[in-house]
Amino acid sequence: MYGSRSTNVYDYLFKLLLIGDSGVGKSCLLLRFADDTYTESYISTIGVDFKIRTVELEGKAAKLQIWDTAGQERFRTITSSYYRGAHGIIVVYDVTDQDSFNNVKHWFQEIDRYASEGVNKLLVGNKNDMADKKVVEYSVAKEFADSMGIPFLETSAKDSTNVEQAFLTMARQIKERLGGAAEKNGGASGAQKANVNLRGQNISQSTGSGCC
Amino acid sequence: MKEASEYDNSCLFMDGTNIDDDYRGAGRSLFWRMFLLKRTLDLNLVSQQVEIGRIQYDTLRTRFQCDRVLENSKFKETHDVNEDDKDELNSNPLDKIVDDNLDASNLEEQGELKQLVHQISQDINRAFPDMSFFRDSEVQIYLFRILYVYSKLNPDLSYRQGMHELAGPILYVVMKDALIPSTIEKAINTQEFSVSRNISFLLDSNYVEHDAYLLFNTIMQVAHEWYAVATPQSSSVPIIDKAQYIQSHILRIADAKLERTLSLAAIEPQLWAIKWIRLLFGREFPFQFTLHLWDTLFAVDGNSLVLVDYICAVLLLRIRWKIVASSEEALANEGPTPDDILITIFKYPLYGNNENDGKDQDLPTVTEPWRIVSHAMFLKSHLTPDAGKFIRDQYSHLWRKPITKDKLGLSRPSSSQLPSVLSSASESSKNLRDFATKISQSKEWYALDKFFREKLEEVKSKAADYDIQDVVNNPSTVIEFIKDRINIEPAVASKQQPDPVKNGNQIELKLLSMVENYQASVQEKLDSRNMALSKLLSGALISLNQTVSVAGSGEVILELNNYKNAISHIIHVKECLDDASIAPNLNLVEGNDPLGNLSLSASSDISRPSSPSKYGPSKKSVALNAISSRAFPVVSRSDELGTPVRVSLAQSEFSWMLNSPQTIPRENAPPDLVAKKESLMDAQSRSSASSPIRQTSTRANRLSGLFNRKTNRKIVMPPFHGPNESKSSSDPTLTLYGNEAIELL
Repeated sequence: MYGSRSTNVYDYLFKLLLIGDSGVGKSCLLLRFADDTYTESYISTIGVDFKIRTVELEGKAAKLQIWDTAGQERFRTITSSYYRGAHGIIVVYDVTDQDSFNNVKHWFQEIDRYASEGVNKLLVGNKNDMADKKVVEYSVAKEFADSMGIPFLETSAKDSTNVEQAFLTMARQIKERLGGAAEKNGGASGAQKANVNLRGQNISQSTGSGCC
Repeated sequence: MKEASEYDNSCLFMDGTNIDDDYRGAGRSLFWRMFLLKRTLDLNLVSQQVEIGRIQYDTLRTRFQCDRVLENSKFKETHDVNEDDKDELNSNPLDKIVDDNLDASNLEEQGELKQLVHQISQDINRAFPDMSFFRDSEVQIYLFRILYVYSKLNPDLSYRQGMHELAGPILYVVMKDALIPSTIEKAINTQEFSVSRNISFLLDSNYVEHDAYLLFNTIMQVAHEWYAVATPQSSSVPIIDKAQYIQSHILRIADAKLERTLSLAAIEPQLWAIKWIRLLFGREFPFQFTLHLWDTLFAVDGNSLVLVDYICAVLLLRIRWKIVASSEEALANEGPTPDDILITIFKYPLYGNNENDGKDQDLPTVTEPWRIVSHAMFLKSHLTPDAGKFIRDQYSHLWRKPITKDKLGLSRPSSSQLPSVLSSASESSKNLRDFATKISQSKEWYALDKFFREKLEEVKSKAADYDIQDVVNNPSTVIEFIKDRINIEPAVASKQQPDPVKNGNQIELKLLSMVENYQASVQEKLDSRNMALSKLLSGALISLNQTVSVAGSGEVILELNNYKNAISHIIHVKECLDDASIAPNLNLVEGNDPLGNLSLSASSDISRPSSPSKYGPSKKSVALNAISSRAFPVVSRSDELGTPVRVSLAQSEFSWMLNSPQTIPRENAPPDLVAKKESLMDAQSRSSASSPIRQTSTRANRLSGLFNRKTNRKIVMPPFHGPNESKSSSDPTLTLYGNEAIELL
């Protein structure tokens, strides 16, 4: 990693988490977002995987550290350590797999159980390119999301639809929730400090609270 | 399952080939059966075990209604369709079959079953996407049944993601070796070759699924807990405990700084450990490399797999310099960030910084599996900072930046030795491929059979030299034994046709011996480097001592140069010790060095006959010890491995001296040059004022205290052969003291 110092220059560091049933395409979403590639034959995630991408939000650089979990880890305490410190959690289901949508509510229970309070959430229905196999209708999922008070998007990692938007929506929300407050108050409160890692460029590190 | 007759009769193996070009382990499955199933080299015993296991597996398959799950062979059709339409990957008619056919007693159970089948088939579909072998519907059906039976038999665990990548390679290895009974029979009848009963039984292509299950199940006896999850009764997760043990125990001892860096970066060990351990490192390395790694692992540790923990530690030590900032980087605030470290660990680097643009990417696959496992064995038996340093140094050349090399004019042995090893290895791997190709083209079946039989005969005859149980139970013996089997010349070798098997063995042998020679030569250079440093220190000490003696008589000015020289020597030695890449400058050593052979190591200190003069030279020894242990804690903490080990007084036969009343070490003395000089002066002045015995034991305590705090070593106590031993004295205490004083004070 020598020489790749550019990743150190950012204004915000947000930790995101991808959860959802096995096989709904979490890893493919991440691969599309972080590396802009896609593969049909993606291997199953064992434990966790991790990717980084820095995006621009209203003139500020936000580094997104995205954790991709194994679908089978639901209800297992193994994932609880990944929830800790997450700023935003994206729950993914497969629009062609009714079971994966039915399980979404279990995933939200997981969030309530392990994540810090007030964490930003987003519901994503993936594989939306497979129109003929689609079994979870937009309206149904949208209604569910509205009832939970969370944003919802249908995506396709395969043809890139809405992938960028999904992650940016999440990042913007987190920034609104935490970043703005931190900026307004100048020296954020202890709680905000713990959640938002502000870090100036290398020369002005004293303004930030360090990273990770 | 296909009937044997469906296979092309000209092929020995059921997969339609003879030996895969990329498969270098013909006969591997025989060894895996021996290593895992019975831990014996007796094929009769292994065959008995396998026979029982096969019957049991048949029973289990029936009991769990595997055939009903797979009825109508819709699984196969699905997969054939999926080849063309990958979108189908995750929807499987198996789901429907379950609903219709299985008499699950209630809806909930049926739902669970459906989910299980869905999960297993989904993972099988996604397993090893690059290998056509795993896209074969027959292979997928075998894998499915193996995993399904296992999960039904272990309902507490059921199927967990990752198991498919343990079962997959096992099935691959078993299938690659499988022989088709009818072909064997035909060949025997036409007297083309003969196969021993055990081999044709064990490698019977009708039982590949059974045998793969047996091997998988054996591994799962241990791996079970790697997959276990928290239960309502117990919140602890074994894999997390294991990960934490590896990091906070093994790694903390082997390389405290590495452990601290990972902790500070808030990288929890389970982040990497879950994937590494559950898949037995299968995702970190290329497939063939993994098989080689498993060969060694199963051979030395097939029934406990304890070595896995140490392999994890070795893998981290291997990339240590991509995790821990070097002193230059730390100064420039340029060390790896926590994100860099995460990325490195999550995408474990197989190749070094300078190998990526290199030509033959195949190289590490040939050379490293043995090294990694043997380093893990070494670490397990010598869990010390020294061992950790030794291991990480074996790999440090991989990450060295070229600019540093040029700047310092490095002559570090590892970097200069490696290319030759690698190029020979490259040649060997090419030979090995040629050999495999040759076999598959020449249809020399007899050679293959001979290979199996001879290998086994040799193994057995070698084993007879040992106690058989010992061979299998003692890891190091097994390694030796594997080397031996490679070493043995085939009893009958056709002269017209050079035996390709023999060539293959010799190549492997060559590889092994190259690795050994390489390690030995590195060791040799490390030793001589230590010796050089020791000479420098000794010279400096003499100068210092002279300065001090002169100072006592009031003529300081004359010897100031001596003093300055000594200081510069010591600084140089410190630099060398701080940065292993600096070659000691021996030109600094001047000719007049009566202690020139004095080594930094205490074992040679003690065993070496020292100067017979009374206490003069002994003071130099004092200073040497004091300096090496105080001013340069790096020497005592992490000396190069292989240097004879320092004996702490507490553990020596002179430990009685520790009963002296003055046992408090002077801990607060600053570890700088002033302190060194001070200690010399101190010794000098006190020697005239107090009893030499008192002084000696005090000093010994101080030294021993220092070492006890800073080292964590095995103690090797060489026999004492000091010249003073023969000196007669009326006071026996004084005699003993005399010996010890010269060496330690």
